[in-house]
Amino acid sequence: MTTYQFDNGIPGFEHLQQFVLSEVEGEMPVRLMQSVEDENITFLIASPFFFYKDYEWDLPDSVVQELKLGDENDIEVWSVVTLNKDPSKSTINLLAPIVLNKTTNRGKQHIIHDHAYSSRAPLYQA
Amino acid sequence: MLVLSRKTDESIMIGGNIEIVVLGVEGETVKLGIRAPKDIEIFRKELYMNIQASNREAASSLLAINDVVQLLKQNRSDK
Repeated sequence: MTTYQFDNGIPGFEHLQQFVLSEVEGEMPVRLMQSVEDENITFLIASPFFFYKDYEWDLPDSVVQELKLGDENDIEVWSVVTLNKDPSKSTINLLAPIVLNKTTNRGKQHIIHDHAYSSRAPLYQA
Repeated sequence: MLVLSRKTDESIMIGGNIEIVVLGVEGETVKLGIRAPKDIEIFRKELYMNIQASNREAASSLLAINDVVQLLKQNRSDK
């Protein structure tokens, strides 16, 4: 379990600045992202590259600066999942990935401007 | 809210390093140019609101961690 510092929170939860990432039982590339400040707020995050092989975007300087990224190997990218009881209706947010710096333990939800990704892409593509 | 009137090619400053220029007005559409330091993020408001709504939905959909684990297991066995 690692605690990450989100200086600006995340959209909708701007007041929450610390999240703990923990592993989920099983082999899926997913984690739980739980707020330290509000125990009722937990997200399921998943590797977007696992569900969307061609997922790609450019990392802007603003993110590099905010996360104090020195080495690109320090980056980890996750996407927030919205679960539905009907798994075919579960969605993944490709428009605003969670970007983490594993070395400094800083995180940010980056909103991609220049690609037409959806914030509610189907988790399981038909 | 502070309200200012500006003409095309006029601008406003926010602090010392953010400038918003009115580039043109066509019908109901105002075209703005923005000069700001690279670490300032600029979005259309509806884009930010979309992400806010999506995050709130994602957080409220997670009632219990056990449910999540069950859903994932269920999914995997479906495949």
